[in-house]
Amino acid sequence: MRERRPGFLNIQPIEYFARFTAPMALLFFVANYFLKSWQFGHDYDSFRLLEAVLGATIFEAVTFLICLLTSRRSVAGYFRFVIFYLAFVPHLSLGYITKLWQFSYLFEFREDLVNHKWSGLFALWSADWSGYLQLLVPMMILVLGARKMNGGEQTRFPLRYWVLLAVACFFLALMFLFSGIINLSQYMIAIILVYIISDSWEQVRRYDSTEPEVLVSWAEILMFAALWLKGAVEILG
Amino acid sequence: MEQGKSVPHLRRIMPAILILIQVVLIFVLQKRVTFMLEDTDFSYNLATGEKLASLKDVFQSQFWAFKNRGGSLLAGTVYQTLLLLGEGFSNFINTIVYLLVAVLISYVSGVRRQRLFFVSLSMALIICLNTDWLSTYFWQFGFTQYMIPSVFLLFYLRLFIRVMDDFTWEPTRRRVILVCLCGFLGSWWNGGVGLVCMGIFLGAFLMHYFILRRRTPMYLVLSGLCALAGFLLYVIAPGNYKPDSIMSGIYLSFGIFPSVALSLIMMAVLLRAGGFLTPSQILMLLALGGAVLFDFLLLPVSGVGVNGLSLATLILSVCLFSSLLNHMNSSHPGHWRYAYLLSFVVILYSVMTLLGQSVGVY
Repeated sequence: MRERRPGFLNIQPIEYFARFTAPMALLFFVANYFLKSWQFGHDYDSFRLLEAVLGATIFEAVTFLICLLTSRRSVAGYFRFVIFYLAFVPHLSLGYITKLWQFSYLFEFREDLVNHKWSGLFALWSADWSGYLQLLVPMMILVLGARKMNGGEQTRFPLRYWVLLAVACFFLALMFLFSGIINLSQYMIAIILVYIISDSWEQVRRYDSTEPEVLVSWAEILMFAALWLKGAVEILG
Repeated sequence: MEQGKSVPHLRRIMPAILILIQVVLIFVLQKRVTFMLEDTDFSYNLATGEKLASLKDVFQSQFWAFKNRGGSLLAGTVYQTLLLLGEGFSNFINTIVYLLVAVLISYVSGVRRQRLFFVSLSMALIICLNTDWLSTYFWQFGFTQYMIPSVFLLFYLRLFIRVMDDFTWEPTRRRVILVCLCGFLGSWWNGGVGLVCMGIFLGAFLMHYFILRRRTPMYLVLSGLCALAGFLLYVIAPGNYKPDSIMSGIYLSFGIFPSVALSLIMMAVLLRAGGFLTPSQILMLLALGGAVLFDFLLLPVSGVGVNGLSLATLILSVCLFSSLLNHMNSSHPGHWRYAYLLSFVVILYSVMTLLGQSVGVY
């Protein structure tokens, strides 16, 4: 049996990145700020710097505030949440956000539901709801399962998860009834699911009390890199 | 006591009912989606411009297509033969092949218990993870070009999985010939499937050389060479290099991200829950990585082959996902309830999507 040499896959990634933690975190922050400002700035015919900066700042504030609500606060946890956010949460333009104050616009009945009855319901399913079932809901189930398996069968999910899921269902119902609220509902449902996934993932990491295998850490990095790339490509694309 | 006995019974019955529902829906939708677009063009003898009347017309047409429009001679011949036999026969074959792909995925994933559950889940995942499912599975051109070669790909992958899971296992000569034939036909049928077949061989070779420190068995090398031969046969068609080649069209438009992300997440979940990757799962992961790389490299090139690569990547992802989920359920029996919940959501999505199309709301 030959002795194993300490190779690329025998060293924890943290040992590679330890010296560069601060510059890497800063770079990541700047990159995300740039991506979101690019997205907000290009909501109009020509690029608008003011809207870009304002939108990106709102994004940073929202993600930071949500991260304060998670059970495990850390810089790495914040970045993991932001990666999930960029990959899965739909974009709301500033123009749409300003329209949210108009009651008549927000709560206008959906014509397709009124006119087409059952076929309208199927159309709504395909057009508005399906995207979340496609990936986010299976992801949430998997991560919740992992949390339960790691933390022990007796572990209970926090009350806030059930409250948030009830809020998501409420927005789902609104989305099926009113046309102006569709984008907001999609955003709210996605952000709730992303929050639960991210928070549960942090718990799974915490319960994994033993020193994780090197392969586990690399696999996790691979997954998050793939998710961030997806988000970045979609925004720039 | 009675209640305790009824649970396993229900676990056997429910997946069977769900499979039946999906098969019926798929068959109904196959009937509703008639021959269209390329199907209409290929219903004629491409050489003479007359309606296909016999197999002679098909061969004549394909000989012309080989020189002028490219693509696979094998896929083209089967495609035009199906068009010749009519919609009723094609619908029946398509439904059977769809079911066969789902069954083969469960075999490739190494599932021994609750196989029906994994078959129903795979059937739904194939729809759920493909946004362009209508063109891929219900358009005759798409089905023949992309879905049918998946059967060969899965038979081919099955041998590699068996070898990786048990190094002492020696396949019979008949099985080796069958797998070599599958590698050859799959690669000849669609260039994308050929690339994935070669990627699987390359992954097995690398694992033998670097991780297992063993010589790659000769029958694996032989099956890899057969896949290469099929791929070359696909590429050499002179029609591929003509301006109006079948290779210059875009036939499918779906991203591979959801399927790859789901399997990566399942992998991360399994590893974080204290699990490990078996050699066969590492092989599937390597093959999937290779397929994703090819997808990105060949992005600027359109055509039948590249679209086939996307579907082959999706099939590989579903195999890896099922294998990891099965592994997780075996090591954590409590995880079964999450697997049921997941399958409920995925099947609900798939059934609602198929129903939405069946009642014609688009």
